[in-house]
Amino acid sequence: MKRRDIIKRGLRNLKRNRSRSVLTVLALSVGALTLVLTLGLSNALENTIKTQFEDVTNLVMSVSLTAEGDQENMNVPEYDSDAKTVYSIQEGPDGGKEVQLITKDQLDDFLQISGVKRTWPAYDVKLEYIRLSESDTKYVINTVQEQSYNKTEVLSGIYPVDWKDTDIVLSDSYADSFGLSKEDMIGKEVVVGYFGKGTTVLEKAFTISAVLESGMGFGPRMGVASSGIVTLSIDTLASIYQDQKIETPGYNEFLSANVLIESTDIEEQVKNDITAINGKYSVTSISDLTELISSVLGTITLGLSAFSGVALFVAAFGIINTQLMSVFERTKEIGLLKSLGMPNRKVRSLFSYEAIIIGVIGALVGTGIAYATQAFVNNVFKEKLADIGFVNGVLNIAVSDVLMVVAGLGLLSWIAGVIPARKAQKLDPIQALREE
Amino acid sequence: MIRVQEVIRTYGEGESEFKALKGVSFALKEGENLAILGKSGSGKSTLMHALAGLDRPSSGRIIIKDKDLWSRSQKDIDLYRSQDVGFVFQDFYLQNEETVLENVMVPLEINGDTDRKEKAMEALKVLEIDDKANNKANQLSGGQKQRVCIARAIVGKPSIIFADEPTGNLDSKTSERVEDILFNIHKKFNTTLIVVTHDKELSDKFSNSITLKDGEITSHTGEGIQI
Repeated sequence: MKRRDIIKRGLRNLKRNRSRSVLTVLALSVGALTLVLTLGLSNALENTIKTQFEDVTNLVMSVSLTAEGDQENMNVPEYDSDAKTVYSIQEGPDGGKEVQLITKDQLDDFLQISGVKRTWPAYDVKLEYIRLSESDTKYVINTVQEQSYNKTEVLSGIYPVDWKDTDIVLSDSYADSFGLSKEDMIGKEVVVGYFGKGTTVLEKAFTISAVLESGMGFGPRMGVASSGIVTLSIDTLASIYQDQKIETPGYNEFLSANVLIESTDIEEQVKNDITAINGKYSVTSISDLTELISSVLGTITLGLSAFSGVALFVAAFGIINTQLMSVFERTKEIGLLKSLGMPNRKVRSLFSYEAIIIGVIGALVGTGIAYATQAFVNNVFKEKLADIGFVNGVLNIAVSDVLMVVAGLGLLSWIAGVIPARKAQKLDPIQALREE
Repeated sequence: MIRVQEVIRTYGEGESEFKALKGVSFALKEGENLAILGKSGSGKSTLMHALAGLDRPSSGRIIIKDKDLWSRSQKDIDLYRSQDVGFVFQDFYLQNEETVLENVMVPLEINGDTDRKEKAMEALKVLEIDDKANNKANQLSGGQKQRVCIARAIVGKPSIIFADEPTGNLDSKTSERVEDILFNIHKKFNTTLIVVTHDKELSDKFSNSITLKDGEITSHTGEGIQI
């Protein structure tokens, strides 16, 4: 008997028991649906994170110095004016930790490491106000950012690559305050005011190079505050720091430092070199963050897939049940086929193929519903999803995943069909024909 | 020649052991017809199943086409059943949900033959039931069903046709017609025809017959048979 004829016969049998076949297919398709959706969701999350981090360069790493003291020990450490311990609150799973302040000298050590282009500390500066140079109306500055080495999208103007001391980039909320369009902002002179030592207010003049959107999406694209963000060059921040902190206690002692490296290839090398100077240095980069997110996502995907697995496991029993009933009902047919010379092996294949057909159809139906769900969710909630960063939708079903699910379900069904198919194979044709 | 040599078939073991055939031997010329006559439990069906390659004897040999049937490989036994043998059953064993044509095509499907439709229609024409080709099997009368069953038996052009009480479920008028059909096919295609029956009247119409009682041949008639 040819394989094509076996499959055709299997299809005819499934058609004859339509309602039972349909129900088994539905049970399987629920499993397939959840599995495909889970994989689609995981793809979407991964893609979204990739786009969010796409512009973020791995070239800047952050260095902090873990406190000398015993972390487990709750004792108050001894005072040491050269190694001050402070409590740093960090975002992330670690929460906060005790760190030692990094000094300017320590910072300069990093420059000796090959591949390090620049080092600078996290300057803690406070700005008071910003105004157009032609106007006296002052506006609040909520947040000061340092220049970014990342590719940065702007609403107007050009984000500087080589920052000059007079460059300034503002968030678009200032355009409204100044009563200017985003385009008109570019090239305007502004004055930023800040306290020097004591109560003297100092002013610096800048030219607006670019206007940024105030916060969208999640991840590094979103600023700390949603409005009133001012971005300045590192050198400018250094000079303001100088004005504010020179000859004060804690001058040139910093919570953390940044290191700019030449290429991402030497990331590990530089990390090792820094910790070689002092084992207490802890170096973090964007790649650490993306790795962490990926592993968390992987775990979530695995967990959700496990639920689909349970559904599929249950559906597999549906196949066993259906096929056992089918063997039972078709005892006479099996007897006839065997007595007419159909080899036992082929009878077994007949039932195996039926099981596989159920599995593959179940997978295809589930996948179809999943694609429909994807089209619906991604289109109907398109703008809302884009607002929270899912530019390409919250479901991205990959063809490779679908093929995997279809093949996997075919395999699962084949395995589930083994017991019934064996039963059919072993039937004695004479006994089978005698059965009433 | 079909040679049956000392065929014994035992069911069960120990105290529940039951000998259905107690050393049956005979030889039948090819192209002959034979009735195996016996009451229920005489072993006539067991003998037919052994001859047809459906039930392995406990001992003895059945030589068909110069080769012992039961020392062939399972594959060859399957081939023997699908290519050399046609079956006519008392209960027809048609697949009721399928059409007459589909039922008749089953042996061709198993053999992997081509031109199945043409061959099946040809067989239905021989049985004069080709007008029902597209009817579902469950729409037919008993006599019609038996003709479809015979069409299915001859579609593969077998050299031996086995019929197990072919008229057992039919009224006397239909029975006669089915008997005529079987004899006509036997003559027309020179097919060996072996029929199992408990009906003395039917067996009398055969050129050769053997009578079984308790697993042994008690009498035989005809020129084509040797004991």
